[in-house]
Parts: sequence; structure tokens; C-alpha cells
Amino acid sequence: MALLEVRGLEVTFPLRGAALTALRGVDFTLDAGERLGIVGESGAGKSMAAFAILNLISEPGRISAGEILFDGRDLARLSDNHMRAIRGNRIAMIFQDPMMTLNPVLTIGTQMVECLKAHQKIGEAEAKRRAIEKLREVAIPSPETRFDSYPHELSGGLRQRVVIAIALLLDPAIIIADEPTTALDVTIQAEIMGLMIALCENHNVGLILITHDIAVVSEITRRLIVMYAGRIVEAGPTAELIAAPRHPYTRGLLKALPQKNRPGGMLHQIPGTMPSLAAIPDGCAFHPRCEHADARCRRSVPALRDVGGRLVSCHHAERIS
Amino acid sequence: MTGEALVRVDGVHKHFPVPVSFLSREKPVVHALNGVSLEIARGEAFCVVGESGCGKTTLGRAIMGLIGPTRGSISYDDTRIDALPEDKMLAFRRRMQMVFQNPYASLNPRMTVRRTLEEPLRFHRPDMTDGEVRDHVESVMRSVGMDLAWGSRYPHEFSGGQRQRISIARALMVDPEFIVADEPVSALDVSVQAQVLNLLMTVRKERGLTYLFITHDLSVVEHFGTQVAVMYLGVVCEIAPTADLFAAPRHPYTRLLLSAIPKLDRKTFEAVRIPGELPSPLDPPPGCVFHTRCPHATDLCRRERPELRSLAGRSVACHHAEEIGAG
Repeated sequence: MALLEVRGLEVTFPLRGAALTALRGVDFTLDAGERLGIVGESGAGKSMAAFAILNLISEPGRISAGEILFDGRDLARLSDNHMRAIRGNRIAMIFQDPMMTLNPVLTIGTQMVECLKAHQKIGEAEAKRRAIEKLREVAIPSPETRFDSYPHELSGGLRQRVVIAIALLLDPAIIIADEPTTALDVTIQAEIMGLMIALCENHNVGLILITHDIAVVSEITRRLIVMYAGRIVEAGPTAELIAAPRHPYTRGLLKALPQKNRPGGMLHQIPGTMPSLAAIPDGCAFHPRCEHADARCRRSVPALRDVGGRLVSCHHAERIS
Repeated sequence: MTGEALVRVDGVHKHFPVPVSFLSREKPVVHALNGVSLEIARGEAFCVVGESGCGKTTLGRAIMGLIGPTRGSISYDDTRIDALPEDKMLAFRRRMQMVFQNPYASLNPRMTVRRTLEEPLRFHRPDMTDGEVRDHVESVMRSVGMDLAWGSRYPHEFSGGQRQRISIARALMVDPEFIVADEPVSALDVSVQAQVLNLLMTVRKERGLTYLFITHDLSVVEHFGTQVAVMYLGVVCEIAPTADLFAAPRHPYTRLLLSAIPKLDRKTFEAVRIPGELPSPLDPPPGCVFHTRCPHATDLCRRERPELRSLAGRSVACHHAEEIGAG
């Protein structure tokens, strides 16, 4: 059985009598130790999906349908108290900007010890020992000294390592990482990604990596979900999906990458932009930007269905390949 | 399509003082540029690439005359412009324009798009009549694929990609020959990034522009650039034609940087190990600035700073470039 199972997840925000649907019919599973990628552009709903799993949708938004099954419980219906015991403990989250995650006026040691003591009954000395052990595990040089550092004394790369150490403190079953390396330089990104893979493998932690960078997920994840305008448009094994995308949006996204184009030539471009939540087109949300769109696409929303071992939501998936 | 040098940067240093207590005896400075020399030929799409803090933005701003270099000289079309009085500089300002990273911050939220586009003409071309200004604005808007109806709207009504299109149109208003673009697509989504890069390439071809393109994104450089300069800690490590640099990087830092780019066709993750952290630009290491992290460093590197020298059709600042290139 899957470690995490998301079924028919829907998130809505009420707005002047109407309701904006930020996520619609999102289904996926995650096994223990598995690495899953969720990609999409701004407004695709990828971060919303992560926040929903942790029940962190801010008011007045809410999970309006669906289930999030974890450890035999439905997280979508859990009380705040019960959720607090899971969040940060069994399911940890890493955000884009480590400076926003860390408290600037507390030493990293204080923050780590506080986190341990909030979730477990342990003494100060034991908490410190375990914090330093985690700092060592994420390859922070001289962890005993760094324990007493403030976040501003560390470089961006070290800060993100501290954030990872904190996420790992309570031996979570799942880590959700939302653009964990977007704010970092490419060489630091490579190091952090290498570290995250090693840690997830060593501890059998499931990883949900949310990013806009397809090249990053292609190296790191085994399974990939592509989102557009709050829905999953394609999902399947990462390598296959990247080698032969079937949904026109995935195809366009990959073809737009400079890596996929002859240097100096014109880049393939998808016309238009992602629709806003208030103006999601009828039928297939991608149809105004799609070269294959016909009357059917403008009328009816394509279901996410199995096409040759992959899930695709496109009326013309068989034809396009 | 390349020709004589349009921009010549010669031994430029830029030091920024760090604010300290006025009682403090020490006067620490950030060494943002440490003896940078390069030439940008006419018609080139010259890319400067490097990680945060390498000095690439400072270099762009120094060339634009927005900050004066501490030492060294900058020439534009054979005239030294780094210490020109403001009235003489004005003529050059019209020939060079800039596009910034953040289209949310670089457009005035209280000006309509039309006003934003008219502004450079009103300043640089007081001789133009209202009718000429209007015609020129409309012709530039059409040439960058803007709907004329955008003119009466405000920046907040546009997406990031559309705003960047407006910024590019603004830069083109005074018919410049040289454009400095500082991370112009970094804030944009992939599909929109392609639209903006295509626009930049099209206007370069149509107008015969020369670009200084500053970015951290190597895959964009590989696609867009004709020449690349790789910077590290205020120093240029390597300058080469783009295809040569990507085919066979010579400087150890360039090699490291290229190996760190995530690749679509790579199935497994190959972690590059880079020992250590970027040293502080307050106190750059003596000798070669990269020696603290370089796997090939020797005593020579720790002692003596390597100068840029020609090697196999490019310039490299490394004492051991010959041996490394072979391996």
C-alpha cells in the first residue's frame, strides 16, 4: 500500500460570492523512499498541492473535496491538534528561501532544540546531541561551532543545509520540498540535490520535489507529475515522460527549453500565458494555447486517462506522439 | 557579423566600501571587480556568466556608466567614457540602453505604457514633435509584438513576460546600438522565457544590435551567446566563443560550472563535488582567486595571480590550462 495517497483533491477559495478552484481532481500516490516530482509554471497549482497535503491552506481557502490518506488517516479531515503532530514530524517541508524559514534572531541550535522538544519528550543535552548529529549528516563543517551561529552568519547553501537538517530532525516519512534550490547558485544546487538524494535513500524517506525546473526533476525523480491551471495534465515515469511527452503542454514546455533547441535558432514558444484562476477557459484549460485544439477541446474537459502506461488528460493523446 | 571592438574594458577594479562605525579604524572594502579586461565586438551577443557575487552585475553597471570604476578604463567606440562629465556622457547614454531583471520593479507603476515608452524620447529627443513621438512609439510597439491597445494600460495589468516586452520596447525607443540586459529572463517561466529570448534575438538581427547579456543560466548562454566570459569573484576566468567553451571548457571553474548544469538527458544524478565555499569578496584569496576550491591548485596558484592569456582560440586565466585542457 502506498505511504501517501491523494484522491480527488480539490481546493477552493471563495471570492465575491463565486468560488475560485485552485486545485481540481488531483490524484497521486507516493511510496516509502520514492522520489516524485511535480512540475509546472507559476499558477499551475503545484505549491497549492503541497500546502494542501500539510493542511496549510490559508483562510478563506479550504480543501473542498477529496482525501489525503496517510498512516491510515485522512489528513484533509484531521483536527488542527492532530495535524500538528504530523506536520514537521512525520511529514516535513522545505521551502524555497531558507532565510524565510529560519528565525533570524535565534541561533540555529536553539531552533533545532526547540523543534525536537516540541515534538518529543527529551532533555536539553540529548536534544543538542541529536541536533549536532543531524548537522553533521548534512555535511555542515564544524557542526559544534555552527550550532551557535545565527542564520545570517551562514551562506545561502549552508542555510539550506540547516533547513534540511531541521526537516530530518524527527525522522519524517515524507519530505515535501518546494523549489528547494531555486534561490541557489547552480554549483550549490548540485550539492544540495546530491545531499537530498543521499539522505532520502539512507533513511527511506519519500520525497515530493516541487519545481519549475524540468531538468532538475529529470535527474532526481523517478516519477513525474505535470500540472497546468490546477489540474494534472500528465503523469508517469520521469525518464519516459521527458523522452516522449504526450500532452501538448508538456511537449511545449520541453521544446521551449534552450537545451532542446539548436543554439542560436529561434526557441519553440507556447503562445499566451497560464490563465488566472478567475478565468480558466471552458473545456480543456490549455486549449487557447494548443495547436491541436478543436471543438471538442473547447467544450469538454478531458479526463486523466491511461495512454500507453502513462496518465494523460488530452482528447488527442493517441494522435499526438 | 562581428567587427571592431565597440566596448573595451581594461583592467577595471571596483571596490565598494563597507559601512562600518565611524570610530572604526579599519576601512573594509568589497572587491566587486578585480582587474577585469574584455572587449565586446560590434554585433556580438556577449554573455557574462557566473554565480551570485562574481561581479557580473557590477561589470554591466560600470559599462553603462551607472557606477564609476575605482581603477582601469572603459571605452565605447574608442572614446573613454568612465570619467566623462555628465553632459558629454548624454550622447553615449542614447546609444546604450539597459533591460533589467525584474520587470515588476523597473516599470513605473503610475505611468501608462505609452508614457513609459515616450519618456526616453522626450528626454533624449526634444526635437521630436508630439506626432513624431506617437508614430515612433507605435512603430516600436508593433515591432516587438505589442498590441497598440496596451498603451493606455498600466504595468500592473500585465504578466511578467508582457512587462519584459514593455521594458525591451522602452530600451529600443531611442534606437540604441548596444543593450545591457541583466538577467532579463530569470524571473520568467519557461514558456514565457522562450518568448522573450526569441524577441531579443529577433531585434538583434533586425537592428544589428550588440548585447551584453548577464545571466547565471548556462543553458540560456549556450543558446543565446556568441561569446562568453565566465566570472568568479570579480575576475574573468575564461573568454571564448560559446560553442568552443561548451565543447571544451579550459578553466577549472568553467568545467565545474558546466558539470553542475542539470541535464534532461542525464538519467542519474552525478553529484559534482566542489570543496569549500565561495571566499568572501571582502578578502579575496591571494594568487588565483579559485585556488581554494580548485582540484589542480599548486604553490604557483597560491602565490601568483594568473593573467588572461590566449590559448587555442580563447583566453584563459589559469596557470595549468594546458594540462587541464588535455585531460
